[in-house]
Amino acid sequence: MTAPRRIAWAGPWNARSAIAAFGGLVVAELAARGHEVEVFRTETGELLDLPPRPAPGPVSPLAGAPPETLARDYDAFVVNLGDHYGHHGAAIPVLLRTPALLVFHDAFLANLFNGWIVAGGGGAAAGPALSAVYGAGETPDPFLLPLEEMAARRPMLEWFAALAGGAVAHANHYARRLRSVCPGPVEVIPLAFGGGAAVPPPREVGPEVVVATIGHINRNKRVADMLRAMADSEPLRERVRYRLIGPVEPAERAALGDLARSLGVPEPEFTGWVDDADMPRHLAAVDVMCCLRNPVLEGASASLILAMRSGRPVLVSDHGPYAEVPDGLVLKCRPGHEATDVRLHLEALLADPAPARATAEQARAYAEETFTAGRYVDGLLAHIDRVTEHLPAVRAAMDLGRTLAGFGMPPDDPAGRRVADALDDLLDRRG
Amino acid sequence: MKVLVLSTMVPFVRGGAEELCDHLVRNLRLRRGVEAEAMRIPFTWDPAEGLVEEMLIARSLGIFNVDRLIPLKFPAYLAPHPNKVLWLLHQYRQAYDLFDAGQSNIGTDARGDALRAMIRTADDRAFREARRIFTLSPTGADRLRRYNGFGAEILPQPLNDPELFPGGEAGGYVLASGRVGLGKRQHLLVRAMRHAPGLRLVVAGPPDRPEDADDLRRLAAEEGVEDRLTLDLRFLPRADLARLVNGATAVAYLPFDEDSVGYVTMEAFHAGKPVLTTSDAGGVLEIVRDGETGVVCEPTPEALGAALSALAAEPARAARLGRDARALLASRGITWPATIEKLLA
Amino acid sequence: MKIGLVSSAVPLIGGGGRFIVDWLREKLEEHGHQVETVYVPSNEIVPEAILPQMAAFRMMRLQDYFERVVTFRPPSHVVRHPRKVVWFIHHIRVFYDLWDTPYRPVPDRATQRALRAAIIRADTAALREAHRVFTNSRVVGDRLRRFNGVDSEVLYPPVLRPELFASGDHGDEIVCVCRVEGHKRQHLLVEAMRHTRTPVRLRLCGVGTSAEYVRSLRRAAAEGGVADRVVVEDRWITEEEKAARLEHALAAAYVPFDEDSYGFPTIEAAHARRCTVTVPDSGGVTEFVQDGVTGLVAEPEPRALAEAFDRLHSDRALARRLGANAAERVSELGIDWGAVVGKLLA
Repeated sequence: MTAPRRIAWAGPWNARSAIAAFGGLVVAELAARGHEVEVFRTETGELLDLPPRPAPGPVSPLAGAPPETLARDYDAFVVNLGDHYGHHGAAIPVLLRTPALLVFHDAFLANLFNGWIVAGGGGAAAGPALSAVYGAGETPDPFLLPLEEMAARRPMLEWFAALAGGAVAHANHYARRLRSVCPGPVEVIPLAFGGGAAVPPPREVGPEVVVATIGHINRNKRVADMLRAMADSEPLRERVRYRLIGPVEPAERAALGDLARSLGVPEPEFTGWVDDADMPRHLAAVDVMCCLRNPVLEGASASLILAMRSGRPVLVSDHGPYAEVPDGLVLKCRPGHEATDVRLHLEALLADPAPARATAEQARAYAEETFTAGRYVDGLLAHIDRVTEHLPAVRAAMDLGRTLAGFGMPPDDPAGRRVADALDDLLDRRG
Repeated sequence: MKVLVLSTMVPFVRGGAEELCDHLVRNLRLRRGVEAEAMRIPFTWDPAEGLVEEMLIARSLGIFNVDRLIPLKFPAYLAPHPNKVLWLLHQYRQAYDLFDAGQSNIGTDARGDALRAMIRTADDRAFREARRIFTLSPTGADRLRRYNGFGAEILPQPLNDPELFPGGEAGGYVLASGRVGLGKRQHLLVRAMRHAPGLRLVVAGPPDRPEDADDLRRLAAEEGVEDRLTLDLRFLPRADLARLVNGATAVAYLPFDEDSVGYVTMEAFHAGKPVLTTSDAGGVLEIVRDGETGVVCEPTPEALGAALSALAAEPARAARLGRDARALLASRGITWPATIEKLLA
Repeated sequence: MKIGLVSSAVPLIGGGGRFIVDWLREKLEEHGHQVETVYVPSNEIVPEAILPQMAAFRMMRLQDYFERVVTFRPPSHVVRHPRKVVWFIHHIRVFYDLWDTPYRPVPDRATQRALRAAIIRADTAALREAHRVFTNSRVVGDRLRRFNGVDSEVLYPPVLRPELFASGDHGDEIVCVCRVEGHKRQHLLVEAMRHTRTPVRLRLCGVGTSAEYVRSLRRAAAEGGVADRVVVEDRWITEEEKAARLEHALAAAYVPFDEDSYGFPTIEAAHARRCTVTVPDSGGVTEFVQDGVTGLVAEPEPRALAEAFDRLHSDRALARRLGANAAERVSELGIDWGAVVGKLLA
């Protein structure tokens, strides 16, 4: 379809990172289509010592690649960003010098940014960075705030987007925010997901129904809402068993146990950390998947895709990427009213499992068709063309913007608009 | 060494800074192993809002094939170069002392504050980048320290044509050279003549405005000193001016609070002539010291008259002051070769 | 009229791009105009810095000062002025005709092709808005049409003072006056001297940026045993000196690689009624030099050039005839300042 491209693909490249697993899938698809892909690892510290995933081309640390080379010697420079300094930290210094096509896996990147401050790379930049994007009142001391407040006030997504030559979002909910600051084109491409290949089909719903939340168990997963739903409903208390599949801090585990006891519901079952190979076995005994999230920090949700592909009914909070699943495919719960809505959905399911079963089957088909590497690469290659076309102008605007910032000019200064207009006029991009 | 002198221009306007720029390049080229040229980028400061673009233009210049950049003015000194030595003729004073004095095109509103902050930030960065900073006068250095917190060495402008001022026999007249106008107070000298009987005075230089020439002529008639006063009010060719300086008994120069020593003083001292000036003359007083290299008195006709009489009555003393003046000037070493030496160090 | 001559320049690099500006200024002033020359330091060394530099030119405020602006070296043509006359002397060639050559400064990648496209688009827009567009040669005019789709008129730059050049007897010397640089290929001329059979002499005059290249020329002359017949004057010579050298020359030689214009050396020689020896791959030079008419066009290799030198040395009548033709060709083409000033101010 298109001429072979030489692509620099930057991101984590180890067995632990889900983003690396996504990268493996996409890079393999690109290579299968004849493109030449070089992987540049963005891990820092000991994560960089983890063995690399297999790749169809060379793999080397991003920190060792000269930024000019990345900008000049490839047809595209793609950088994957997630909210984890250990996996993505090496990308930051490069992004400050070279506009890349940024793939935003998360809508919240404050931990990544904070890691950079802690590592000593961006301490001096933090103050100006915050006030530049989030207003003069934002100071970096302390940088990290409680999670909800942080997500509302300084999610740092915008700070990274302003450095990008173009951006990919994996869902619509944060694309608008990217568009408001990213100087290059922004495109929404549904996440490619290849995990959970061999989840056994759901079993018939029996007297006992197992609901499972998968992943790192923390407040964001709204375990308490599930427990409250059970507390409020006799059928749920009697028939639902709640299983938490994934690592949990002892304190969190104890707190959840206390809560269950005080609500008079059975304590949730904790499996602890489960590795990929064991996951299908654990999922075999699950009837309903619970993907409640609040606040939404992720771009798209791999857990949601995994859940839909398992063919089991899925409970979600009705916002962020979860709200973007077409109506009728998942069991949506109003944010803030999760406990109530979970109860209603589960009571209906216990009364008559057939409709939920049919819905889950539709969701499975939808997920398998939508979240594929093939569709992802189609979208990515087309987007790369658009981003590339705009890149010289974006780069020039960034250069001039950096010079103006060097004068201490705030980003919303009217002179900045005039200079941007002069550049558009020069490049014949008006109108 | 390849040297680029970078300055600004207002098309079709030439002044002292342009002269200095030309002489600097000429003198750079005289030095062995130095290639030099000057470039001047257009600069428009009105409306003040456009200063942002002016700064951006300077900062975006691509300077290549140059071992040393010598910028002279705002915003040329913002141009990026790893080996930048500033000879600071002009900051944008309307963002600094002239703003404080209420003489600025920058508003006193929030926007004005923002513009001044940007100028200040850009300036500070350029000053930090510079290997060395020189100013023409202590006043310029003080301003730089006060507003930007940077120190500077003082590198006054040397005499461009010292060979024209070897000195000569005292011809029995006092010369008032330089621009003619209220600021230079030639009128005080004319008034002083009635207190200095027999003194001959020559006023030679271009009037700032035609009225300044007329005023001086009218004053001479009123004071009844026309027979002892020569008014040569025009831009004199350098050789004509030099002849007048070389033949004078002394030179009178009365600017008010001047920034620098002034060309008039340097020309006189080089020719071995003492300078008569006033206690409020500013930078001139750096080298004109009463009873050592000249005479310093109060800015009144009476005091000036007495001083003029004394100089005329004692030519031997005037000659001695003149010799010491020449020696002092020489000891300051303000010559083009020494200046170039510093700029290229 | 108040006229601004605006050009980019690399500091301390002289040559044709500067002459055309400086000489035009002198002539415009002779015609009674007020002229200010604006040289802005700029370079294309860092490809990514080209667009910001172009933007700087675009932001310059010139309109209030000048009734007319004439632009020369890129990217000066992007300045804004309602009466902008572009005298286009070359593109940033590595992004144009030299893209598919080893001179391309960047890899042939999509990102770099996009930069090239952006530069071309900006150039085109700036040229289209100009009041008039002139070029210094047909070659450059052809490139403007091919890459930018812009029509232009050729306006050959005259030399500063044609009257300085006189014609005396034809001596033994082939004279080459231009910057001493690898791409001007003086080494071909020195090597040619080894193969000459007549006592023809060679004189190279001009400054260079590479001391090594100058040394290599002297070395080649010594090794070839022709040092006594080759003079290398590696310094800036005055117009008067130039005229004196051409006055009694046998002919001129000018063999640059793919020059944009016919080159001032060719025209200066013609004013002195001297023909020019050149080579087919010299670019614009062959617009002026026609083999056997206004000069000799030899293959760019030493033996062929030696043959041309010998031919002129042994046939002075030929040297005289070709020289006379060259002089006539200059006046035919209207290469004179009166015509140039008239067109630029039309």
